[in-house]
Amino acid sequence: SDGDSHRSKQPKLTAQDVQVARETAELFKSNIFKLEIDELVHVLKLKDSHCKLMEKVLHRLYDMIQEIPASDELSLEDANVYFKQSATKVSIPFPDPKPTSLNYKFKYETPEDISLVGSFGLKTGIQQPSGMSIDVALTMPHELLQPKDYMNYRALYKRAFYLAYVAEHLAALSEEKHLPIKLSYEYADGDVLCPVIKVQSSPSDSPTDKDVVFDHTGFSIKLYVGFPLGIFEAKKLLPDRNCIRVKAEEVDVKDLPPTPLYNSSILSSGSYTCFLKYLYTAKKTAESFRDACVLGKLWLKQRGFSSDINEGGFGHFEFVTLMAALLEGGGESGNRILLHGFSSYQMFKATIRYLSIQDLCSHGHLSFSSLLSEHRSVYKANGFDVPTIFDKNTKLNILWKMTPSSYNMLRLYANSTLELLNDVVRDRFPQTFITKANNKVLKYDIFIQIPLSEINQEDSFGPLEKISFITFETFVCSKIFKILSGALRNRVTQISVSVSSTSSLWPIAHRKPLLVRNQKEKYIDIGLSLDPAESEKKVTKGPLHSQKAEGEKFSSFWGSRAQVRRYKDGSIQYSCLWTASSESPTVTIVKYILDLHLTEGISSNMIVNSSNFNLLLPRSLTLSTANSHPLVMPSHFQQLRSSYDDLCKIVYHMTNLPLTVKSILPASSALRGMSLLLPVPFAIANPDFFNESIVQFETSTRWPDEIMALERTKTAFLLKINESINKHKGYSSFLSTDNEIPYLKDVVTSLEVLTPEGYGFKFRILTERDETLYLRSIENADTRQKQAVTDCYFYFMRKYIGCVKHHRAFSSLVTRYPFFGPTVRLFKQWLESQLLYPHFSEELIELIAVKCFIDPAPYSIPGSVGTGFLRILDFVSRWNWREDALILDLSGDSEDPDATTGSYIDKLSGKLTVQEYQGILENFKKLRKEDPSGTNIQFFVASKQDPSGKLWSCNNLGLPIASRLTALSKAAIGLFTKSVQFDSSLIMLVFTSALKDYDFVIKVKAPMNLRAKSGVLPIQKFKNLIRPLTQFPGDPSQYGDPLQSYFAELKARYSNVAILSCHRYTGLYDTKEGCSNVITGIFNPAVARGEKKFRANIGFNIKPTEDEHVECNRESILNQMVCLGGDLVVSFEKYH
Amino acid sequence: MAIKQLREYTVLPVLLPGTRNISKAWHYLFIKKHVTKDEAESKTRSLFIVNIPVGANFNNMKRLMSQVALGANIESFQACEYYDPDNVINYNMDINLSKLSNADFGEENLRDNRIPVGCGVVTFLDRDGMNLALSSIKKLVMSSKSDCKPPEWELFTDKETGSSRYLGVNNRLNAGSLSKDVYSSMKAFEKREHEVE
Repeated sequence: SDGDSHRSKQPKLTAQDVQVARETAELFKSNIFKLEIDELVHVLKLKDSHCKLMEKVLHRLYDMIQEIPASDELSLEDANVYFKQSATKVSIPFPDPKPTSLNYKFKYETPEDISLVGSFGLKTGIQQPSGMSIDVALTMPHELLQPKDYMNYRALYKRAFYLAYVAEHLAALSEEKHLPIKLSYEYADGDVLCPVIKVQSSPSDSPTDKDVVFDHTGFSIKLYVGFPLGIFEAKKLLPDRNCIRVKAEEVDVKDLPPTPLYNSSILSSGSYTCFLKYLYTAKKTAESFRDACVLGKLWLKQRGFSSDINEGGFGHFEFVTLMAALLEGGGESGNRILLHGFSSYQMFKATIRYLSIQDLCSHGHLSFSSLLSEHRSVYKANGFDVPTIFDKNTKLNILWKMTPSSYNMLRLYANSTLELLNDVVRDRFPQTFITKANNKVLKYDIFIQIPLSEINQEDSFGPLEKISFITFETFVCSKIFKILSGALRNRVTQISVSVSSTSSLWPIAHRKPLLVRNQKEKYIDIGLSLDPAESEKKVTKGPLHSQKAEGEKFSSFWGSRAQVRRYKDGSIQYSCLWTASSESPTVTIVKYILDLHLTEGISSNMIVNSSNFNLLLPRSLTLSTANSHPLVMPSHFQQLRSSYDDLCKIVYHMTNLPLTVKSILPASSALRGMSLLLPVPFAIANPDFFNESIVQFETSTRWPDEIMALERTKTAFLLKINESINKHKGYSSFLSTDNEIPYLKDVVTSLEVLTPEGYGFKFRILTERDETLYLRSIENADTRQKQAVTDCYFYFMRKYIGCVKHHRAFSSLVTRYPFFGPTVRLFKQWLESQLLYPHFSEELIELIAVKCFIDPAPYSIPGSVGTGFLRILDFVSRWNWREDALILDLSGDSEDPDATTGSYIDKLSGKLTVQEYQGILENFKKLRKEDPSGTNIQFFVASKQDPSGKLWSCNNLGLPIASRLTALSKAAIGLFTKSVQFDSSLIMLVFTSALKDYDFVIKVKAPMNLRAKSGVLPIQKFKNLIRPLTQFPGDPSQYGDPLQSYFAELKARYSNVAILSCHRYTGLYDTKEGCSNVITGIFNPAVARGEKKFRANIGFNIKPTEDEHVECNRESILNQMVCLGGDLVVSFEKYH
Repeated sequence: MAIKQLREYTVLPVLLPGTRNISKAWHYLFIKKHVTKDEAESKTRSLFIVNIPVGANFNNMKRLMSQVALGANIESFQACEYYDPDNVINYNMDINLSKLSNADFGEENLRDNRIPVGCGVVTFLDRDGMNLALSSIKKLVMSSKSDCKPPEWELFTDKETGSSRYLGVNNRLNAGSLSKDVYSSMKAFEKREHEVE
């Protein structure tokens, strides 16, 4: 039929369109990216002068090594004696267990090869604040090793001697050769089996002209000692082999566990030069390889990844080797993933994509060969449950330093980066490469620390564990990871367990790193990323009651907490129940299960940061009902909502109105679950007590065509509604003047309603004529008037249209992101504590906060209040609002772009499109062209709902307040990220305002206690003395907070002279004597400083100066301010 | 402070009372004869005062005059105080949203008095009173005698500040009188509408 053919044609066209659009967007994007990449690579380039100097240093070092004489054959005892007698005190860096007697000899001979390996050799080095390192590999001569030396640490002991011998001679030669250096030992990438020598410049006190000094370059040199390639039979060192024979009770030699870490360490030490050749060749064949390496290195670095075992075990070497392997294949049929002609952007992106989509751990692995003649790498569909990129040539799994946990983390990062790179709408370069995302307190949703000294696991770290895990720390981390994986399951998306401070350098006079002075300084860091949909569940469900074997397993794992429960659907299941408190059930589980399976009582030594933040949210007078979640969505919000719905029903059904009510649209932070205070019945001193809504009637042509008459008609409608509501039992209502719009003072009215449940609502009327009349007014205004009338229009848009759109968008966001609501509330609490709240509209605060949820890159969506809050602070502290617009996509379509139709253009239909995004950017550019320093509008916050970007920030805020927000968030985030443990005094510091920063402070006190009246739980009272509020006071003088009224009058009278601030929720700040608050002020320098010409209408309080001018009369102003406050004022302080 | 005259204005310092939290402060009133288009200098019986203190009204103006010029009786006092919570209103220009939204039948100017912001006009019963007041003020200002007690400006009575002022502040309107107001102004609007048609 016609319809069918039409339908079949349609998608074809669209697909084509999509393809073209996609390619264009990709190209555009990749061009921008290219420019940015070129710039970045240029900036990061090592200084030529430094490189030249280092080449000189390397030559000198090379000559020195060549001069080291061969040693005699020495027994262990001889060797010990030799070093003891030497002038330089050098210890042999033997790995544990330290040898006591050996039946073989040590010897030193000149290395058979000395090569530059690592990024300096590849010329992929970049500038790093922590300093750059040049890796030099010395290969031990064949003659010094036996093929059997791979067993039982023999090669490692010989290497340790070799290294010590080199160190001893270098130290002796350095003066003579004019290369003043300091030598230390260090473990190669945290591998305790592989010590290296670190060479740092150490200028002498009496330098000579010949001395080569390089400390200013930031470079250091690492000397690795490697084994000749192929000296050991690599097959015997495969990850499933045992190469350390130990005696353990009841274990036969055949049954000894494999020693993958040990085996890989030895293989790795035998392949330095082999990989150097491999990578060098790859670099030669692909022009962009080098730049792509730099990108990879930076990408990993920003995310805290490196080749170090303690930093994920995936760094520059692993990334570059992966790229080299992908140039030769990597697909399932060996097809090439990277092409030699790729740009650095394409190469980087394809590698990230590969990491993101290919499972190299459980379902498959990548097999390649570092042998130059064999160009073949293939993705094989069988995995080993450890991350694997296997080199057939050396038999080394180059991912041997990774754990499943760090691999999972890497993949999550690859996924989110791929999403960024696929984003065709906006430039994601900064989030990909520039933003640092490796701070532990920002990275995880829950961060827990356990002092290593408190973990009594030495007994279970037996000989078998020692050979499998090598170190106690690795053993404990692995054990904790296993316990937590079993306990937390789908509550978490990521578990990271690592040791906090790993000592790196140690003096060559010692065999191994000195013990940290106080072992307590060493912690096990547990980082959890949560699935917010699961993490707060109060039940852990296990197998069905009928599954006996699984049930027993469940019971033995969970101990006394396991119980059998019957559920509503009739199923009977093994389960554990957790109580909801200020602590997430996930934290409760971690504490419980580690007490049970790790060390009894360990939970009392745990430091959990996230829970402290939950306690900062204001506690309400009434408790949340048992079935609601007290943190994520307390029942208070639902009760308010239900009272609202009842009231709306009454209004919708009114029959006495000339027009029927078409819609009642809420615009209230409490109705969307985001108000700072929880809504509590009859809490009339809560400044947010009245929840606003906009009422619209059916379309009519009869609305007056003039603004005042229109407002009066609205008042007439409100009077009718008022009359009708007052007839309903339990309800009462009244009209009020609503001075929200400048120049319409005392004209506009609103209706306030009190419901029988104890809540307050406020209605305003919007008609289809309003906007037209405001727009017409702008048109009719003369040039002088235009700005003022446009301001009126903005006020109208905010109060009548913007707030409703905002409410609609945010009510859906608050349900999509469970932690968004409480996180915003905490952010509001912080602004409140810092006296910033009155300067922001609720909408602006929520828009800024939502950034970290809808656009969380480089992190993932926050899964706890604390982390959400810290990420908001972090974002605000870094937001350069003078130069950067905040553009938000509130549509919140969270589906994976490629998952739906394979095209992101389709998906963008509901989202911000490229055109819209560019349009908004244009608006921002225009705005900043007119106002480059942001004097008028500081925060440009735009979305599809408000492309102008200024709806919520014009005539608001001000430069000093915007700057103060930046400064305060910077200070707070600085404190939090430096100190991993958040004690209460630190948190108090961040949540206390520095009053001395202001010019003056008026301390005020309300004559009555406002805490309970605002619905806030009184402090330090017996629970049974707390009475809920049960009715509205008959006397209207009991309503509201007199301090807010005082503040409002001061603001109205002096807003042009001084920026005034005040805590908005006096009820949160009570002292023993009652409620107290402060009003602080900073004089506006433009007004308060300097002489002005006298004018009658100058608009502020003046005094004459000697030369017939005038100046601001601060004394008189302050006198009048304090006088107005009368008995409410407790004290007055002038600081500046 | 030596400045006694600034252009055509006489500068009168008045002392604001202190409270237990803040000390007394000097405030300066800039005073001249009030002259308008309709009222020439020879006819006026009003003084124009720049820089009026907060809450200036008939009573405290009367109190001031009684201190400086006994016998100069005032009839009325009008003022325009700065009052703008968001610091957006431009007091230097007239904005009539009603007329702007509909030039044909919008309401006439809403601000009935055209007193500039921060200024007041005090009108005396007669020209003599006004002249007496002004000359007394000038005399007071010019006299260099330090033993002369400075006039005080009483800002508020206790009942006008603090909790008495701010407890139970609300904008509640009386439905009955509001209803009447709406009715009459809607009638006026309809009338204007008809006139245009």
